[in-house]
Amino acid sequence: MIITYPHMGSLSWLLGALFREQGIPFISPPPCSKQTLEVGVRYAPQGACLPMKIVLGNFLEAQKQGADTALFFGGCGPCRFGYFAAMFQGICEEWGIPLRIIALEAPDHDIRELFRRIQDVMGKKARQLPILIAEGIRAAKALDEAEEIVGDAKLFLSGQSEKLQLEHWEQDWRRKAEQAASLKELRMLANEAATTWRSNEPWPEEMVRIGIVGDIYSIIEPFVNFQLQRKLADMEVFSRRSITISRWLKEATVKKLSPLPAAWEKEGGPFLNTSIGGFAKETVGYSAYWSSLHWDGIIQVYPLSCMPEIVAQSILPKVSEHYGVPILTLVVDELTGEAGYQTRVEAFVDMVKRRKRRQIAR
Amino acid sequence: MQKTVGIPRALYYFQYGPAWRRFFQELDYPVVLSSPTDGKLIEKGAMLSVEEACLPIKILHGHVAQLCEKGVTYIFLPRLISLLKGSFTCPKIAGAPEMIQSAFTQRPILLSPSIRAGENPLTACYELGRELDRSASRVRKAWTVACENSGGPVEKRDPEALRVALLGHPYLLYDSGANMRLREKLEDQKILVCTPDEYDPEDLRERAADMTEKRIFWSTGEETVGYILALLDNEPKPDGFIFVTSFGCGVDSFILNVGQRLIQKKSQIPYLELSLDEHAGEAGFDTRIEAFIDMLERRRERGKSA
Repeated sequence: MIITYPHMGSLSWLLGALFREQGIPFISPPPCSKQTLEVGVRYAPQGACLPMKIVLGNFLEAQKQGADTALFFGGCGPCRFGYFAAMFQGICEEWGIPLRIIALEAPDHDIRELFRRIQDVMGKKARQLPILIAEGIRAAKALDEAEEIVGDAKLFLSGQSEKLQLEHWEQDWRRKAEQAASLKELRMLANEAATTWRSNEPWPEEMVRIGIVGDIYSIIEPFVNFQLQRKLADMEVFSRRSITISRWLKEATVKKLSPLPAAWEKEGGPFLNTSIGGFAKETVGYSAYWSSLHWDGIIQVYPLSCMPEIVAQSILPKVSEHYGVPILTLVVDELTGEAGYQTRVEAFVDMVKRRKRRQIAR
Repeated sequence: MQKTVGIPRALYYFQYGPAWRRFFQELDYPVVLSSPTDGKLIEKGAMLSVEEACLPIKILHGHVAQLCEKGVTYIFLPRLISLLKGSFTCPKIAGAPEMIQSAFTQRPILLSPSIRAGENPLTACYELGRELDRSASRVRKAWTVACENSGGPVEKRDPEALRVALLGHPYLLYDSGANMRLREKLEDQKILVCTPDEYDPEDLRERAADMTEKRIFWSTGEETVGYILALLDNEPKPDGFIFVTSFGCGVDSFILNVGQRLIQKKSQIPYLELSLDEHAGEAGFDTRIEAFIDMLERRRERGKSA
């Protein structure tokens, strides 16, 4: 059995390190590209959301390179993510593609079936699952922190040569992360990045802060959002996302221990208090939360037809009006042109910067 | 002044409307309905909602706008998260109250009790009762009366007619304004229109659950797949299927695919997909329906002479 999995930010590094460590044969799909999207679009239903098309593309490209089993997550809806695996199975069957899909979920609450599937993938090592999950979350946290620190470091560099130096360092570091032989090694690499680039300099007053919200795939996978955070850093804008791999993994595997709502949930409550699926609550909650902290702008990114995000989008104008913080919504699909997208982001950042300068002047 | 409850003629009104009306009437609250969907209402709704919202949600906005104009005291818009255990309606329907709150700053009071299958529905009813100043016992009685409300009578069918099964969400199949009088047009051509409400939803869901490895967690989606299975397992089979969907419907983007594969695997029955949005285009719509019916008639002729 040769396994493959989807690309989603640092998730592929984590899975690669895990499989290498456990000696499980796997193929990491080629990095997301136009070809990936083309392949996915060819086989997925036309109305399916972009994440499904890209993940399908990942799987089919990996299958061409020799993978025979694809790992994915399950879910119970109501957003479509929970049904992706079933759709992949149907599509592979229909087209005679020799790819077996394993969905990591407990169908009809049958936990034993979930363990059976994990055992299928990991053999006897499945017994170490709790330890591996804990290790995985620790590594994910370290990677998320490193990403933030390195991203912030770019904002403090003024010279072109300094920026180039950082970029070279980062490319080198990414290559090492992709090849990490274990979750521990991945965590060490992340700590190294954090130590190297952590800065204790205070933030300049005129630094613009923008929060990024939306559905998990669109805001974490740079291919979908056209490297939005990198673009913002190039424009000297500080940014954070409402969703990170480590927080998502924690919530997916470990039930919330504290009954108390997080700060973002409290702030978002008056605007949307029901879980309607996907990340609508996070989108609305973090928009409200960051606005309450006087951040300068919010950018919502989501794939065309994403149901929970459409609901969130209809609520965001109220949030924007309440706090006086502007919100930009970017809807992406397989026809999105980067140039138009870039123009809108630039225009938004320009506007936000001008507002900030006026506010400071007063 | 007499307090009234407005009910939008949209979304799940088409399945539960009569029961809801009885409930409020039993509590001595006159019910005001919005008028049936038409072009102007759809236009108004589209202006008030976000562009990306699907047609049924835009239609809902149009109906709420009308009720605001009619000056009702309350608007009943239940938060229908799940109607059947283990499944959901759709994220947009679960979030509809918030969407309406955002779109309408000046409006009557929204009555939006949360309905989740598996939870006691009376809890939601008592919540309503408190808002409407009615005792728990009155509410209980009103609920019992409302539940006894059944659907309309089944008409006599002509066994020789072409049978066309309609597939899709109830708020598209049964709203003539939304589906540009699809049923009426088919019936004018002497076609026997079959719809999912002819079967018990539990039965449909069981058929679908047996068939799929992973249960479909959208109730309408599962019922649609179950309906296809029920029709293909019984005689006489339909001569054609028409999927009625709206542009951008997340649930349908998957369910249509599953349904089409099922139909192709188990039969040679042709299907037509009609995608609706607020940009009407009725002429093109009619042309496609006519062409489909022509094709079904030719197939039947060939079948007879074979």
